[in-house]
Amino acid sequence: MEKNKKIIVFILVVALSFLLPSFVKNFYWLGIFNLILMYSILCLSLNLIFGFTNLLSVGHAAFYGIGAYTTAILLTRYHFPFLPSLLLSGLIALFIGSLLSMTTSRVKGDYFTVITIVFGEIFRLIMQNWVSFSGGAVGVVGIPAPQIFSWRIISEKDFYFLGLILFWFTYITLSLLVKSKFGRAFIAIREDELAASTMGINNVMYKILSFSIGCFYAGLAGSYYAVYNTAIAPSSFTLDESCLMIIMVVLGGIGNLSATIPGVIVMLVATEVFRPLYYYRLLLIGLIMVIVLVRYPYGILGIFNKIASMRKKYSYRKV
Amino acid sequence: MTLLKAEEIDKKFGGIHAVSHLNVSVNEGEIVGMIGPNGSGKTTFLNILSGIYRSDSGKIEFKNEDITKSPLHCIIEKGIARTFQNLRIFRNISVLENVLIGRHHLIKNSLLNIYFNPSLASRREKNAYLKAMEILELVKLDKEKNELARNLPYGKQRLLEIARALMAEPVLLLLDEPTAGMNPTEAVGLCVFLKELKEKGFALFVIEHNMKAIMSISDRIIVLNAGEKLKEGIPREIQRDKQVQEIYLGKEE
Repeated sequence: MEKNKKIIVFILVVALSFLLPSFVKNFYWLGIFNLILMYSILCLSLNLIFGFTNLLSVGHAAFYGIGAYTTAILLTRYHFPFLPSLLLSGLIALFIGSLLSMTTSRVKGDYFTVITIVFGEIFRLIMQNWVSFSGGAVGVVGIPAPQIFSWRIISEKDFYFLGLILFWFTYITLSLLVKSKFGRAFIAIREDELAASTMGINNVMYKILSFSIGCFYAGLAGSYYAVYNTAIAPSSFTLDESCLMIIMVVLGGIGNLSATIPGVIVMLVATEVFRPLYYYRLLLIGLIMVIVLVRYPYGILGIFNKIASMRKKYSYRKV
Repeated sequence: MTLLKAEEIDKKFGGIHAVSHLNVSVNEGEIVGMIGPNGSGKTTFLNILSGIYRSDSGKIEFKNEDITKSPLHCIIEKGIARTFQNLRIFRNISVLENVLIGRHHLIKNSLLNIYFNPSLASRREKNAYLKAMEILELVKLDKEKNELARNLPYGKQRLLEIARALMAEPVLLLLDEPTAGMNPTEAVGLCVFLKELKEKGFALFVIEHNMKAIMSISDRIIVLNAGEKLKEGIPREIQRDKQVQEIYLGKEE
């Protein structure tokens, strides 16, 4: 009964998300929705790495960049079709992610974080300086509009649908993953590595798995960014970008996939709403962050849980 | 029949000889107790048995198979599960999820299964769930299955850790001070439960400081002092032994 109810609600949400552009015709808002979808994919995958497996990766923007550069170069230079480039972007990010996590599998905690920061910076510097390959600081421009079979993706609305499909793909596959024994193994590693391995979990293997799967989705998001923006440059894949993703994940709720999305929405909408404030915008957003984290260390998820438990208490009192 | 045979186990930490030339065997369906003063090497020995430490020399055989060099995460597949002295449950997830993690190596789902054969995958998950409920009922935690593990009272957290170990369907359970932090009533209840486990066919290796508890449940007791085996025998012999009394109470002047 409970399960059926959940499935019905889920189908309704999916249907509504596809109907959204029929109500919202404003290009400005559609553009923000597209950004929300893209960051949701990035943050869902970062939540798998950071929230579930407790690998604080501050190099997620690099994998996002790897995906973006793969698609950009394949589409502009080799005239690849879009779908294979999308898939390849994910796979190359996954491959490089697995290499990085394999070589760092013995490094723990803060030291791992430092390595991911360094990796992110190295990636950006290579892309900035290897002009013949990546176009240097200018990057790759004139990325053609993607086409899937006969569907040419040009308008904001088309990109909304493409982003939405990628988003639901990410959300559904990741939810299935975290509810399986793999997800439980990731959580066990987060909670207590020693206990996890005495319960038969191969810590090294599962950390590599979690990290590389997360990178795969980051690659997909990067591919989407490349075709949506039609031009990419190394300045889009900086440390700031990685930090922004972490902020969104923490704001939403660590170790909970659905909570990630409100985190992304709040951050992006706040950036837009406070845009007239110019430089002071960052100050204000920082202030909001501090308040939320001091009052609700479990993020937006924590606020929801608090309301839920308050309602529970109230209903007990009534009985 | 001998289940576990540890021969000439030796472990040094720097200049400290934590365990020296220890021989221990556990038979099928037997409860073996290990006592000794603090720092006598009990937990170190248990860590060697469960694969957390590598012994410097010696050999561990389990079901006639050499497991001395098995990696940590493979020990449970052989049939040895353990609990910890200072509780290592997964605090921020529910009781049910805790015990399900214990079944990790028995749920045979692969990544491909989850996506391309979901009905098989969910059937296996369902079986694991049923088993989890069975074991939670056994330790009387079935009503708290959705509670976060950290919210349980201490005694129940200990039971949860044992339940998690039982989920792996081990043959031998290694328990490190299972009654630590329990009140006397809970400790008696735990002893009854451990005896039930023995009747179900589990072999148990228990480290304990609670003398009353260990004397009442053990078939055999090993006394450890400064990393060496001081005595081995049935509880009554150990209780009367002069040397054992000396290391616990001091020499008579």
